[in-house]
Amino acid sequence: MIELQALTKTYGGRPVVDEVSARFARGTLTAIVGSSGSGKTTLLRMINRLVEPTSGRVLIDGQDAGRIPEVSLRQGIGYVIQGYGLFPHWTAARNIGVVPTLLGWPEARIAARVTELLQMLQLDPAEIAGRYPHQLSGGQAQRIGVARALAARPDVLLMDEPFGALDPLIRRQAQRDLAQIRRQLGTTIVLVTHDMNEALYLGDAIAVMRHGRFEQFDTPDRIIRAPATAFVADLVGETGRALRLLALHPVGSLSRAGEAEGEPVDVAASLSDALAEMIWTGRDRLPVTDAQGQRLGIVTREDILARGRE
Amino acid sequence: MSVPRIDRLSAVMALPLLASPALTAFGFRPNRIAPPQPRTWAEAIGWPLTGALLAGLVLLAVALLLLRRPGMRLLLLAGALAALVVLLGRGAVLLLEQAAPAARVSPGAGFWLAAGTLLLLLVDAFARMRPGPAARAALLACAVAGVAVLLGSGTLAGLSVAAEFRVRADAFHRATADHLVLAFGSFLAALVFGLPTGLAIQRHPGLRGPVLNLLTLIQTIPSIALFGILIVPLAWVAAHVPGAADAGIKGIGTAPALIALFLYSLLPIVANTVAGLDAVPRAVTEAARGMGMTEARRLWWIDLPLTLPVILAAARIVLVQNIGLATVGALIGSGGYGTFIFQGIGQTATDLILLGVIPTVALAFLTSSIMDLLIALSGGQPQ
Ligand SMILES: Nc1ncnc2c1ncn2[C@@H]1O[C@H](COP(=O)(O)OP(=O)(O)OP(=O)(O)O)[C@@H](O)[C@H]1O
Ligand SMILES: [Mg+2]
Repeated sequence: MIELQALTKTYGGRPVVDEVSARFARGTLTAIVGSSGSGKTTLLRMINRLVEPTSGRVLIDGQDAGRIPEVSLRQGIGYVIQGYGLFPHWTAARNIGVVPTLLGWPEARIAARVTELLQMLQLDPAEIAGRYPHQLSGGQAQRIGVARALAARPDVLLMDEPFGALDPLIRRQAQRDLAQIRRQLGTTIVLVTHDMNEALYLGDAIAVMRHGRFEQFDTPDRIIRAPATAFVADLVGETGRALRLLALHPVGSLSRAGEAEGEPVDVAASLSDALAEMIWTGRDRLPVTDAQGQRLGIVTREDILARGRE
Repeated sequence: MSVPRIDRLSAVMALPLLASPALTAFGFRPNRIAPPQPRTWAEAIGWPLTGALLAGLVLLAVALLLLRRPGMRLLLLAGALAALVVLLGRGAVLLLEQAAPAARVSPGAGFWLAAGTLLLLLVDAFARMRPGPAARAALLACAVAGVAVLLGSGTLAGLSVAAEFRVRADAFHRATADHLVLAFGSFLAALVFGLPTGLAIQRHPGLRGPVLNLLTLIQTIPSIALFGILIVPLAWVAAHVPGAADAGIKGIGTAPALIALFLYSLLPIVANTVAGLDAVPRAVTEAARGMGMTEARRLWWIDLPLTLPVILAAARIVLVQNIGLATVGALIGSGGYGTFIFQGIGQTATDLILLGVIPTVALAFLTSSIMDLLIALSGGQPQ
């Protein structure tokens, strides 16, 4: 668990992060959303002490981060930096292995971990491990950045706009991958983004940041239903709120017994995807299957519309 | 019937190559300071060999026009150059056989024109092979070996510079040692002092302006003036600090020359270190810190490797500059090849001047070639 206590950073007397207090529960993903210059990066970097707080504290699992030696604190926290920051003179494998190397892991263990991570991120180790950063595509470099942050199995992972530089298609894929691997990891993740959709899709909790403060720190559901300020409402958007709510919930939450014709929908797909499919194919009910293609039941249009009105 | 395509550079270069025998091949002097008299190839090596030379040049020109494979051209040109130099040596010996013992023979304009043209074509052929570092190292090794064999075999013993060398072999070896100490010693000292200075001022931006300005100011002092400026304080140190004189510190000699060269070396090393460190992307530095590297780790693992090519570039500049400037040190008694140059100027003995100039240029060329290789190797993983 990460706890921020009246965390403040001022530059030249101007507060950039202003007495922020919050708790990020263990194993959850908190998305920090806000416009440029709102203090997101500064806040994130106070957690691994790349920026020293002017006042206030960060507690990690109850321990004051300010009292843990900088170097060991950082070796225990994964950090995906804005712009990746891969070491240009090192291969992808060596980049990924940097923290384990600093921690003194034996070489064989590092090599095994690198291979494991590359596979987890759907990169071919034989092809990618020996490449230098300039030989990687943007999407590949981004994954290497994530793999490097995860290498030593940190309990905490900080991600600063990890998908910012990717094209929309690759970005969607990378977001899906992150949503999937974080379930396996159980890591506490703090992710900074400009993109409210990304925050809604990935976050268990969302902090909307403005002028160095949290305007609202809440679940995605509450952020959509009950924006605390005009700024939050603006970020979520006036229109399409019902569809956004539906996008937060999986088909499985409304699955019931019954019969339906045609192409089935995956149990993990969102309700908004299911509704779109119904509109497109002119059906009012869809068969629901699990990842193995096993029939689980159906989902109906009335149920979905009712959920959207709640 | 297809018309073979003609190599353009060769078409241009054939002209000086074929015209060169019409110029004086040798300069002949009754003694070492007399003005040279022109001698043609025919006068030196006789008509049969001259005929062979002319035929060889024509064949070579035709072959170069038609031959496009760079590897073949390289071999052909290297062979031609070797043959030309052997003929030069032979001609010198033959000319001296008919003359008094004090007579001197040196290469003339015709030889230089032919040799220069061949060298240019050779470099061009090599460049066309798009050589990697390994190929460049191999060529450099071949060139050094070739020159060593040429000098060791006595092929060129008839030339006037060789005659100057024979009467001064001991002095020449001493000068070589002195020159190396001056050029490389001052460089090493500048490296030991300049790298930390560069690191320090890169991390403390307030120091950057003053330090770089001071070093630039030193760089603008003419070398002779700087030697002169150093004489006074060093003479004072020698006279007043116990043991300083015994340690070789004097107003004139090696100490002021070393110090002057050291001072000249600082600017390129410090400035390039700073520029190289500045060029390390911010995200990379931040990532290194964020991964939990200590300052020292970051320096050794990230900053220095990424800055190495730029520092090597500075080393190349400094070494070539020092090898050249070290000649001036002879004026204040520091030894080195400059000794011959200034003696030669005093005696109006061109051969003696050349005895100083040729090894200086060769050393500078060799050093810069080796440094180029190192730079290519260090940049092997482009950024
Ligand atoms: N070292 C620094 N010195 C002075 N001001 C700083 C420093 N670092 C950040 N700031 C200022 O603090 C403010 C917040 O910066 P920060 O990088 O946290 O913003 P951000 O929310 O991450 O923005 P972006 O979305 O553009 O990355 C900005 O106005 C920035 O200019
Ligand atoms: Mg930022």
